Amino acid sequence: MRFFIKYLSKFSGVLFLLFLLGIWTFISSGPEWSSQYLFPSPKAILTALFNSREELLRSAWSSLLKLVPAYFAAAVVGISLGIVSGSVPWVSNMLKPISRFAAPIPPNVYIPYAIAILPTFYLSSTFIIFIAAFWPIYLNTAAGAADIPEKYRRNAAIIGIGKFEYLWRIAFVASLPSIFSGLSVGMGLSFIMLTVAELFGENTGLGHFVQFYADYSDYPNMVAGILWTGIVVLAIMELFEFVKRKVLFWTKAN
Amino acid sequence: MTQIQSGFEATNLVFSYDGKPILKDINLKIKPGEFVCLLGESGSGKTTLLNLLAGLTKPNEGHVYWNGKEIERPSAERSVVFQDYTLFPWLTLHQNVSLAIKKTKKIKGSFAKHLAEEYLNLVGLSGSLHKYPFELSGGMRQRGAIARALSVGADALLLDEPFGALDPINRASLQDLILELCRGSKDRAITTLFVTHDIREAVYLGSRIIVLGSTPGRIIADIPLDFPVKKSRSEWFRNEKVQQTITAIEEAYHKDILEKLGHVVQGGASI
Repeated sequence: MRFFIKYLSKFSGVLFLLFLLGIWTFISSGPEWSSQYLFPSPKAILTALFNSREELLRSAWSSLLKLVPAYFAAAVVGISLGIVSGSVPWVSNMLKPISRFAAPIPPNVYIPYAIAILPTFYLSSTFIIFIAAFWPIYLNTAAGAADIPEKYRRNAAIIGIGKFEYLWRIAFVASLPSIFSGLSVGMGLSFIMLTVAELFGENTGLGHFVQFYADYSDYPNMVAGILWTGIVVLAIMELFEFVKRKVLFWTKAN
Repeated sequence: MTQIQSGFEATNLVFSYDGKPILKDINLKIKPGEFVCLLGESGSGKTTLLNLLAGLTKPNEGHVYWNGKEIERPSAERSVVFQDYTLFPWLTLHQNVSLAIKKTKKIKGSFAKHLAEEYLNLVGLSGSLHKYPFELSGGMRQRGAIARALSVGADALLLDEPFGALDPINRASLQDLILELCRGSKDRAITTLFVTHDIREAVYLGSRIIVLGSTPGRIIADIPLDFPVKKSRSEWFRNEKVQQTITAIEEAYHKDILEKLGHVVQGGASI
């Protein structure tokens, strides 16, 4: 019995997924209260996933072309500004009012204005993703840099590390745990904004794929698009966690 | 104003924080090569005084000099070892020491690395050069911090309860190490200020003991020490002269506590 419970606990995640798959299969098998049309069978979804593989790969690539440059720009600007703001009181005071006001604004409300003022939809999407990722990265980095233990500042001063060098050699590295928290939140938000922007008006990308087949009521392809988006996001987040573990190895015992 | 030409000098130092007086009327001279132990209970301003001598804090009133020049900022000439292990955790021991050497001596590359290795060997860490602080015990981290403090070529070493968090065996071994490093060489003895609240530690290490009373911190005793050569630790502590010094310091403490409590210490007043 104990042996059984031990293995049940170990594989509970997989078992729960199988349980959900069973429910889906049941719903899609056509009970009276359900609709086979709106709930395609797992087999139909897998077939759509396979048949649309090239289009799905193209969509993922197209989404990444928007996501990566915008996220990267948000990371560079957010981290640089955050380090300076967290280390230099007058910069922090200067940016505090604007960040307190602008950071809580949900980035999706910028979409109509971004479309109006920017020449292409690509630029509008990347701008929205930039805004979504920037604030959490900036705020977390600034908080991390401001919270650096006094002992690091003192040691840096004693061994003659100057103010500018302190920013990148000490403040940046010591703030990495907070920076990664910001990068992680920013990544999640930028995925949301990417797909929202694509659902609205893009003609490429993962969001567009889902919206396109929904418009034609092709639900197997639409659900396949949702599953594929999940797989792409999971892969990127796993890669992110891997890099984070490698970079933050020194936080193990602190 | 006259100052001595070398060593530390503090004149009429006053320091308060948030309106609360921490140090009052501190006048102090530390000669080159002296090993001064600064004793005091928690809150007596020991660390503040050390920070003032290091240049990490500025006094509200009075002056602090090092070798005749007013101390305005931290410098590698006056290196500091803190209690809370201060090696950068993202660098190995060797990288920590190399960085300090490169920054202070303006030496680049392999020579700095070689020097770092020598200093780490000196403190008995030759087998752990490429380990990160999180892989080391508290005692080893503090040895690393001492190696780094010495590697910058400091003439003065300021230690703020460096062994306070260590177990007794490590503590004893590091006490002997610091004695050997700071007082061992007659031609170049390092001027040392060692902050502690442990009377036995202060008596064992110091060539002079300064006792701070608290609220606000002020010097209540300044005791030069001249003890027999240390051979066996236990035997040395049984020495009559050593015992008398420990008693004298305990009495100075006791008197300060009684005065603070408002008792008149005459004719056997008790707490």
